[in-house]
Amino acid sequence: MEQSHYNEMTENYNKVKSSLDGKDIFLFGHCEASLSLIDLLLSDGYQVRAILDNNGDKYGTVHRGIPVVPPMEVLDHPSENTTVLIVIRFYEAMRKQLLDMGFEGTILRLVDHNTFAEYSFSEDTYERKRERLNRGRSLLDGLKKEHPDLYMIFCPFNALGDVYLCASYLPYFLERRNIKDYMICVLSEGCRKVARLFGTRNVTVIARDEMDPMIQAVIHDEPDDAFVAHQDRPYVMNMHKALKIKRITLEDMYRCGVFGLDPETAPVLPTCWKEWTGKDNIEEGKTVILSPYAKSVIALPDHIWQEITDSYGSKGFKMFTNVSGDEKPLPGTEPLRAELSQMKSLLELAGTFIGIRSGLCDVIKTVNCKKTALYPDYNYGDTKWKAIEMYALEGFDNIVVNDRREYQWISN
Amino acid sequence: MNLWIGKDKSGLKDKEIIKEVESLLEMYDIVFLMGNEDEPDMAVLIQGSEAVRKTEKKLAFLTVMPFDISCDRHLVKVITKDEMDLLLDLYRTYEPSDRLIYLKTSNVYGSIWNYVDSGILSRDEAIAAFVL
Repeated sequence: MEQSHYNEMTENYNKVKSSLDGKDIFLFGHCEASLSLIDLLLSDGYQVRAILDNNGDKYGTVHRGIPVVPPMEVLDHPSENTTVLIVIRFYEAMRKQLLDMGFEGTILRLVDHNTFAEYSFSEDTYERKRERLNRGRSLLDGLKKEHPDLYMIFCPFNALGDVYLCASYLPYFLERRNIKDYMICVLSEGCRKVARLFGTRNVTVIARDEMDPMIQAVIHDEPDDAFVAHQDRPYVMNMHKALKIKRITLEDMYRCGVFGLDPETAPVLPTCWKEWTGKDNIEEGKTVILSPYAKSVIALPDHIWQEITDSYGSKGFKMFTNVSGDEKPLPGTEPLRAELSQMKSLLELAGTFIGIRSGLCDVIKTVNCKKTALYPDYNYGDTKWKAIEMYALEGFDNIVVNDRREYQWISN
Repeated sequence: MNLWIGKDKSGLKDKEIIKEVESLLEMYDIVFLMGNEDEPDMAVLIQGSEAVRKTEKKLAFLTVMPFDISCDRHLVKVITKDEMDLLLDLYRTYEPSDRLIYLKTSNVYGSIWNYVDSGILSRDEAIAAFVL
């Protein structure tokens, strides 16, 4: 979950939480954002009845004692005393589903992920969205005046892995369209750094509330000098619908779906790495770098990380947790703050990387060390495909983590 | 560049086609906008699609050029070019429903049809992805 979205969710939650006293509380959508909200609710002493979800594969899943159940189960509770909280981007569709089911209780959106949708044909909605479109046109004009003659590539999702895949195939796309000078527009400094790894000279960070209207302007006016590079955002993208028919990896979504390239096209590799200059005491070949945090992935249980640190600790490895912001190192490890551009050098010195499957795993795909990617046992979106089927990485040990098996984290 | 830029858009008020789409969304699971260009190709695809014939969903196709579809569950409704332009303008201004879908591709973003071009999906699988 983007930090700005988390902040918005927390702010809105604080505004409405007194109205939740004594209510039957449900969340709609089993995702990392909902789980973060549950943490907030539980820490304030609220009880959450269940997480509603349309994906039958998730029924039976429990998070902190809260089960995932079909949406219809909310109707078993008196509407006047029931509140459904929604913190994922499909708010409009979920709200409509609840109303269509006959739910008459309270529905609250605590974060507005999706500024593109408003399920209404009213004059008022159209006029507001028209104003937003015109604002986007104006912003886009300003950007083009500031950077004349550059072809604009918009990356509308704040995720390192998405920007990595975009940059991996973008050169072929540009070559085919005979585009020499371009700029990549991203949502965060982290994404900018990923694009820079590929030697991209022009990368600019744009705030979400400006990026979305600009993208709307691109969608509407279809200029010759702009492209939106994502597989399922915003709503006009339809590539993810193909997952109902067959499994298509995230890499192929970018390679073939977004950029229209042949499936055999080899990715361009990042080249702009820098040497590790940290002062931390990395013992060559005998150090493990752990990466337990990811924005958009459900966290792994603490005991898994405990098992991993116990295993490596007992073998005499030095252990570091890759942290940023106010993230805490795992117990028994030291914090390590590494620049993305130094990751290759750092990991090749350390020798071992173990991380939750996040965009960082994409970034270090070509690093020559022992790499393990851990996958929470969940499905990709509302599809039947497991996350590992969509995201598995070559050169990694790809491991699904669940409570139904035991793991050997380090070979004897 | 889209042709309707700069045209007078006096909003949606009193536009019968908007009421029509709202009404269709009440009666049908998905309402497809076929678009103005390359429509014959798309119509042929839909006519020949096994997924369209077999889906339990009720589908409505709004088109400027008439075509037949051999399934009573579905609807093909012919609208004027101006009405289609208005609907496409609306669709490109915001997402008014997740069940209003434009089938054509665009030069400014990727598309499921790229999977067809690259051999990952057949044409009928691509149509199936929209209607299942």
